[in-house]
Amino acid sequence: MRLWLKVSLVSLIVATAAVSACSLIMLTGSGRSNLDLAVQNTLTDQQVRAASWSTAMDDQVDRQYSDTAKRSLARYLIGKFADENTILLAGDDVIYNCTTIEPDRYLPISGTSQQYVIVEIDGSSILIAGSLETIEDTDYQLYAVRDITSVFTGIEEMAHRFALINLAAVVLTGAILMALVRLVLKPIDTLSRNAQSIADGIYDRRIPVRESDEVGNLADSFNRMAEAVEIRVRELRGEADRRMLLMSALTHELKTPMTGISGNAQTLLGTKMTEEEKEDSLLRIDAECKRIERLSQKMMQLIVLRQNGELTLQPASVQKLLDGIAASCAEQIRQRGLTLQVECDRDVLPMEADLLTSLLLNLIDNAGKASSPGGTIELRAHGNVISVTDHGKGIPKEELDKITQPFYMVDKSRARKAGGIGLGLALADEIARLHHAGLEFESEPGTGTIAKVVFYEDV
Amino acid sequence: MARNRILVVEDDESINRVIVKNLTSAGYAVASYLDGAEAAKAVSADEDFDLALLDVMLPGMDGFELMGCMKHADIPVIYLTAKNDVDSKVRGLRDGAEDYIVKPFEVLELLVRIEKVLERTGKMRRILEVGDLSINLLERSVRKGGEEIPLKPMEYDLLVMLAKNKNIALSRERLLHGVWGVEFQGETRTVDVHIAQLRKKLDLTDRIKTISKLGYRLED
Repeated sequence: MRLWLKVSLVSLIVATAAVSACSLIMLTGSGRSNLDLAVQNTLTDQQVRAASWSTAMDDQVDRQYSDTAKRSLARYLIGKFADENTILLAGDDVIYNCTTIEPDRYLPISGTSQQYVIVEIDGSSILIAGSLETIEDTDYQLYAVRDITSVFTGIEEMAHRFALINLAAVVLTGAILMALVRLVLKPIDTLSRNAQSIADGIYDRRIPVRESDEVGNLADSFNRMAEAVEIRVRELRGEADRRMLLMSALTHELKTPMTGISGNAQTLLGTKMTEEEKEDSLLRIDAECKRIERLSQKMMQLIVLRQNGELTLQPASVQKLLDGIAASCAEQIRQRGLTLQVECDRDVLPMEADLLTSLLLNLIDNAGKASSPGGTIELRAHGNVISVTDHGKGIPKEELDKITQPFYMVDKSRARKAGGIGLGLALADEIARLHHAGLEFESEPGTGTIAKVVFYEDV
Repeated sequence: MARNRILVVEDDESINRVIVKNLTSAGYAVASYLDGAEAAKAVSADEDFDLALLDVMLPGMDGFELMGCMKHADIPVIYLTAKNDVDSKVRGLRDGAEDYIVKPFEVLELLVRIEKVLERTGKMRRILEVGDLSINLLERSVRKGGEEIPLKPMEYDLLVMLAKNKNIALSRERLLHGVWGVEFQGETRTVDVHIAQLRKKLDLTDRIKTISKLGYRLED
């Protein structure tokens, strides 16, 4: 059952019960007071008549009167005071009776005090009130009879009316309740529909928050949750896309050495060759295998670095780092006929020294490849930037964005000849990311290139 | 008629060497380049090529850019590429390439495709020469040292297939399929029998080499 229906029905049942209880109490109260009033009136009436009659009897009766005389007098006098509802008995004899009821069946009065009964005669409710009067040794019983059926039918009528009013009230209240509850719960319905669409994968769906009540708060929390989900999903998708790209680039990159190996192997197997040619083919197969090995090693490094969410970075001396790097690449720089200048005005940076060294060596290696003999490479640490500057041939603008993509090589055949596999800057980019840093390149063809490692969190 | 001349432009030295070696062995004249721009220069100087094998990713000028020069010089093109996506295939073929070979490829497949393109474009030389053997493809005749030697049709076809791939070993299965057709239900022994006939009739016992685990190779 829907929530709005449940709430409405429960409220309606409670309201109906309350209204019915009230009606019942009112009905009983009012019925009783009506009855009391009728009884009281009859009793007063009977009392007044009895008093008037017995006073008159006392005045006029004489002890010596015969019973018959006494009864005649009593009849005479009661005729003065009686109305059509009066019955007078002397002993068991009926002296006066204008009513239709038979006195001896319904008049069980004993004792002297005033009494009353309500009896059911022929479908009518009859109130009989009476008292015992003893005058000159004779017992008289004087009754007043009143038909009080109307009192009861009045109560019944009232009950009917109440029932009708209650019914109308229930129907009306029910309708209003349902409408109100639905209105109040409508945001929950919206919430549920939006939750469904988010569950179905529409992560950018948001719930409009209008009210500042509990439902509004719920919608707000829900929106925040959806946003967190959306961000996470986007991250995961981005990661999956990057992996996909890397995989397809790797597959493509493997084809060249594979073609070399299989071509040379097939030639060795089937084609007539001189010993010298055979040796050359074997050497080429060996070289291509080494290339694949280098490729797989670098790929492993890249995968490990990408999987590493965080590195433990230790604050270390930047001067020491740069000196170490200068020492490592001194031989290479000398062979290329270049000069390396080191400048440092930064004390410490948080780093993983080995990885950062490998990053910077990579940048220096690239700078060396771009430079002509006699050139200078500057390795500088300034503020939160470590930069490698060369004055070599530079990188065309349209290539700048792509150089950190795996397997991207600006001059592919030249890079291959130099043993490059196009993963250097992709690795450097990952290392920078793990240092909360980014790689930035500024280059002008013919003038040179500045490669910067910019540390975003200046600790 | 001179040997078919083939232009090879492939920037990977190792692959370039393999192609050149095999094409030369099979009897083609080959000019090879590692750089697209140099190849374009060579073609503008000397248009006399029967076919060009072009890598798509090249320094200087890429394979697609080279297509213009090739069309101008009326040289049919086969692309060699590591890119296996439909888009670049469609682009290559739409631009007018005759065929498209995806790396890594088999040497024999490359030879067959070159042969088919040469046949289709009418640039196939009509006389095959293997040492002192001369095979005239139009006349379907075989001469050894100037003297015509009669061969049965299947023996002739087998000789032509060996000659077209001279100095390169062909497996019995490949020979069987190439000469007798894919539907032929015979055994590879059929090949051995015909090889024996060729050796006897043309005195080729030394020059049709049995290559263990592979098959046969006709040498110069």
